[in-house]
Amino acid sequence: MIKVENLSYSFNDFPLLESLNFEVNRSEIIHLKGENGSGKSTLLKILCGILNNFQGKVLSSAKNVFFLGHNLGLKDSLSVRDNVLLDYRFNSEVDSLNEALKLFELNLIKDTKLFNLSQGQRKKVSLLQLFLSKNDFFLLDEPFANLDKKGIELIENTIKSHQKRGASIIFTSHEDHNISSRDLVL
Amino acid sequence: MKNFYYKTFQRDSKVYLSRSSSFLGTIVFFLITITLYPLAFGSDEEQLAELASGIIWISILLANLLSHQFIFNEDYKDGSLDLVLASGKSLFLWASIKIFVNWYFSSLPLIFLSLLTSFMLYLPFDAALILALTLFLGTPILSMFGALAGALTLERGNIVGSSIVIPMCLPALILGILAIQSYKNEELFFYIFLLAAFLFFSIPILIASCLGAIRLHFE
Repeated sequence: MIKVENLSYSFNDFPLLESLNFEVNRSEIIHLKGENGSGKSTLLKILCGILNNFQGKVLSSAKNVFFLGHNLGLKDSLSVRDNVLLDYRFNSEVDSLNEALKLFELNLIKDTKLFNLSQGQRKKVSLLQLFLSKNDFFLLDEPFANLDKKGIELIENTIKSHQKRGASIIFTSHEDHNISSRDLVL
Repeated sequence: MKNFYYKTFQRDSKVYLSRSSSFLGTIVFFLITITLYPLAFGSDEEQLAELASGIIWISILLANLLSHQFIFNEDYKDGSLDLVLASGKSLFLWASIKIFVNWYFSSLPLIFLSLLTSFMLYLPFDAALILALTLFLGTPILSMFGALAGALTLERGNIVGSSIVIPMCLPALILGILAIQSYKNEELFFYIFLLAAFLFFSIPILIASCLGAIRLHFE
């Protein structure tokens, strides 16, 4: 699905990623590990095409990539529902959204504007996209941050269900999770 | 399921409508500025009529400066720009829609208001119609230069952007004012043609420049 050959990236002449080689196959989950500033987020941004000025090769056969970054891409002045429906990554049906809102315990605040929500609730709004997505390749930067235990379990199950339908996932996290994955340490 | 570009249009429109300060601010600023000129220059009809085209164009330029920061800056800060870049869709069309929405909510109401305020400044009716035409051709140019300044200064404040926009907008401003002042002469068509040509060539050049400026922040 994706093959990285001799990937190097420097930021302000500081070498952040050096000669990285790895492959991600179909239905594979990769847990990207590393210290703060080791280049985990940068690697995800390179893989999804946000950063282009790298050396080496990134060969991908993924048709549509789902990216979840540190900044969630949500609009404070829009409601929860509008944020989900008008998200560029939303490629599902509206009926499934209503069910997902209940599952994520967001149905009671679906018309609330985002600036009234807590960090955890905002994260859930963003992760709702992950749950509804039908993409075949997922790049998730700290998807478990700011979530309670129940939310973490929900995302673990979501990642597993995407794997079952053949999608590949790379996620970053400082903790270990209840997901059978291959570790990639930077 | 909605198209990526339709979503961009709808999302930006809803953001403008839900955050009324973003477009009402420009309208209020424009009205206050226009009202100040007769107070400063007195109510001499001839003098105001002579200055009206310049007053309205300058007021629109200044009012527009308030809204330019919303075009790309917010998307950069909240991570929406990351999602757009990751989507692999045409950025040219995406940026065009964003600039259009900004023009629609910030400049279009001002064009209609300028028609009303032109009577307050004793501008003849024929000249007021030419004023509206020049603004239809000129304000998209102001929005595109504003977008370019916004794209160049994503991590900086609005003041830096404004100081870039004003000099770049001067040719459009001068052509617009000259067209209105020559509304009785044949030269009118020459200035209108120049302004239209300016708009026509600005669209691909300035939008491509915006994308180049945005890309600079991701290198």
